[in-house]
Amino acid sequence: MNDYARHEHHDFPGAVHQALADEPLQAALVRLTGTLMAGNRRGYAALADSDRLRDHAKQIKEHTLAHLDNYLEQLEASVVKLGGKVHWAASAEDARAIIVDIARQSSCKRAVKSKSMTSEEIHLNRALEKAGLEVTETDFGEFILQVAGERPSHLVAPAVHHTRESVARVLSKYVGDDLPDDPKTLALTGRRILRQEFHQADLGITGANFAVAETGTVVLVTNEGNGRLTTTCPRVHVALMGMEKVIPRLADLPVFLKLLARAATGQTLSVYTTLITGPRRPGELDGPEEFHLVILDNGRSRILAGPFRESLECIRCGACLNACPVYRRIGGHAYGGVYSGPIGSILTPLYDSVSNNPELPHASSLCGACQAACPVKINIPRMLIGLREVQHHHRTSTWEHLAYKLWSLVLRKPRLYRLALRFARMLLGPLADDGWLKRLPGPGAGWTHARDFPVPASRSFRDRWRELYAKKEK
Amino acid sequence: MTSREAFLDRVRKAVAAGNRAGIVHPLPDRNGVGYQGAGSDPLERFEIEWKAAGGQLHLLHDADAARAKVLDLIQTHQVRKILLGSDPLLTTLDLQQFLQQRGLEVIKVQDLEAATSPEPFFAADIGISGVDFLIAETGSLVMRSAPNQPRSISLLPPVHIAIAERRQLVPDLFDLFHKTSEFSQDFGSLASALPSCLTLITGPSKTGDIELRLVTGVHGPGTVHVLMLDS
Amino acid sequence: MVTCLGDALFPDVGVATVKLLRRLGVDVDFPPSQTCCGQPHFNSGYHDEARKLAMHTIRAFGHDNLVVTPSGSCAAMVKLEYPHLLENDLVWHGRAEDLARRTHELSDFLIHVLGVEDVGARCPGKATYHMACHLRGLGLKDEPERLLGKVKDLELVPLERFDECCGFGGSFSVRFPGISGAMVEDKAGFIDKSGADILVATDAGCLMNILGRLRRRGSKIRPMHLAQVLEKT
Repeated sequence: MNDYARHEHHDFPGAVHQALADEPLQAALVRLTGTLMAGNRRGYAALADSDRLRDHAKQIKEHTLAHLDNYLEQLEASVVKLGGKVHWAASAEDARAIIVDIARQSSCKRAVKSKSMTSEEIHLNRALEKAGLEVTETDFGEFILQVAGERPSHLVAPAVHHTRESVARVLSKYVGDDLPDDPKTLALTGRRILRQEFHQADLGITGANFAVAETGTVVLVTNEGNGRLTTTCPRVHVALMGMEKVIPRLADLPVFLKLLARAATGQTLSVYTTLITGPRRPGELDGPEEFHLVILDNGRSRILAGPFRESLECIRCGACLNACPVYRRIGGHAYGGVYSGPIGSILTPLYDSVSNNPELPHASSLCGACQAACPVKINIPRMLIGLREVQHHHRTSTWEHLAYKLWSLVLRKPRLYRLALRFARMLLGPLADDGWLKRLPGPGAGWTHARDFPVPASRSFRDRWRELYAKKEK
Repeated sequence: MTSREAFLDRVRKAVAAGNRAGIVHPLPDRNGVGYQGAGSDPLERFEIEWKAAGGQLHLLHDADAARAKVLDLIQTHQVRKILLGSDPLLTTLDLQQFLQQRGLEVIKVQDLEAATSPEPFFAADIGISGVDFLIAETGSLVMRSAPNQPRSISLLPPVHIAIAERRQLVPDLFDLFHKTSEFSQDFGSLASALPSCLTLITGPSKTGDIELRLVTGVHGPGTVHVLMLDS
Repeated sequence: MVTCLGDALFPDVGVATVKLLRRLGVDVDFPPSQTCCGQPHFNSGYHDEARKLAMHTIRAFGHDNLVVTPSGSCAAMVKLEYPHLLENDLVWHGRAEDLARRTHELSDFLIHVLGVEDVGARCPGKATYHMACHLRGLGLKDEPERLLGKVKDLELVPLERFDECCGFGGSFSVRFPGISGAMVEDKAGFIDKSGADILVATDAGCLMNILGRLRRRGSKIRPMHLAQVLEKT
């Protein structure tokens, strides 16, 4: 089992190395990403005009971000009109304090949580426990992780790094009984345990897939029903949302609903799409008495102001993870932060810091599969390149920069270029076996670790052009 | 400056700083893009999508057939405690009497009080409700929370029976949201027209968290039957 | 546009491209001052240098003619990134957009500009096709396959996960040899499994990477660029 499963870390190379050697993890990742990617393709293919709908969704997000302050104010007004409360959390610390305060003021003792990556981002559980509350994750995968003391490794299937045997071990320890490693038995055990929690909880905490400014509606997209239970049984509901989750009108919501499930798994819709508009109404038998919306900044305004604003268009579907050949081979924990995969390679340097995460923007072959799978066509490769550029502003002149500068100079002077080619040929030619090299020195060793490298041809194309040109004249 | 004002001020400044001169981002019109509809037979479309999601569907021609089917399902699932909703359709079917006459324990939602309601919800073996709409394109049930239709009825009992009529079928998800705006005829603004909880249900609850093996019934109902009245 | 890899490492590809185009009645010229489109610099974040190389390339192709390149990645650099790189330059932005419009990857040129699918090629053998990543960004889907489908005596066999990246990605292959190595090893494995004796791709970078791995494995599969297959008669 992966050492990096338990904590945030910055040892990307070490984590990658461990992941590549972890055979059960490799098998699990191939199965997961293969299945979900097939779903993603099927989902888009089955949706009329999916390409144009994705463009439309992107335009809605671009517009919203360009007017975010207005929409946040409208959202607040809509929520307050319904009897809900809105709280503004500038930082993770503020958000924790706000939620702990809500719990205290409403005398809450036991909290149940529906899956929320935003709550992971602010390290909420620890703060609630410190304040004396019992906190239970209710998404089955997240529950297993909570018991095991680990972090999620995928947006949609957080416990993908586990096998049925490891889940059986974790749950057996928790219940104090020897459970069989059959998925059905284990899942139903989870159901039994968590049903008790739903029954006894007085505080339900969720994230928000979307928040509609026009109506004050918070939308939850789940397959298990834990999102519904979290917002039906407890007395108090707190929805924590990143401020970029707001969308303008109710009519915009189905655009995203049609794309989200299809992009994530290929389903037409997830099993439960829940639209929550305020606390329970008079005469209703269930539902929370109090509704609180906590709007979180935590670095998003800084991203909004800069050249990486597009990353805020993300609707957290996980399609880019499933499409990424790098994620497929290293899994989520290696990325070190809350968000993994291609979008995580951008968000972690931006939310945490670029200097703390120097490798993430480079751990990509820029293949573009992420952008092709993304429901809002986020240009992830371009932003990864943008982050690589930002990194160079930190270090003014390294030998690498000088090398690239020299290389660029040679390329702009054709005579120098031809000379350099001849020089390379002279140097490498004698070392080659049948035109290929088995070992390159220095940084090139990374290449020859896995493959041979070709030696420059004895006659370049431009040498041969003279003959081709002559032929043309004939 | 309050924390609210500071927050919004920071966002305002960020919006201005990041917006590029001369580039406008209007809120686009959808112009029908992405509308699929349900083809010539919405019921057929619904059946395909609903069953693909793991739901069960029974087509019935009259009230007697519906009552017989309910009884049949109750016996199949070996149910003792039945939670019955107060949807007008259920009332016209007179299910309460029908079931009680056969010695089954029926708890009517309208007899419950907020203070004691969670226990019967957790104790029930089956929940029988109506629906507000069905969406053919996605294979979904649409349920609005209301005093006579609590959220729990389609959520807590492990089996859910939803009784619907063909005329409740809506072709496409986009149509539902158009319909939702029609509620505003009764109420002043759209905001007060949405219920406190509107749920789209697309099949039984499921999880694939262990090795991607699908297990139903964690945590919502693992079996959902739609009884579709054709009358 | 022959590309730097094409010029230095795989000149046969450029030669085949010229011969193929001429056979189809296209008048082909080679502006000699071209060297490299600047993609390696761009991808590594050295955007000032990339801009200089972009301007150099735009100048090299300053005439009005269409530009054809046997490389999806170079075509993508010119078409998608040059206008973006030079967007703040009042003079060069227009020139970048102009070159972007005039530049075509080879299969794009054959199918969408010349309007041909059957180029009169004959290449006996069993081939499998690997899709280069940059074709995605260019909006190309199955153009290379359509062209290959019309080549006489060529049997095409499917490649498992044919559209998955081969692991090249320029500096990525050197910085993350473990991940890149795993990717190219998987690709090589699928190629062996396909039973083909020819591997076809539209990018020299992919071919270099995959062939490098195939050789390490002792595989006898012949790599051919799309241009080389289409040029054969």
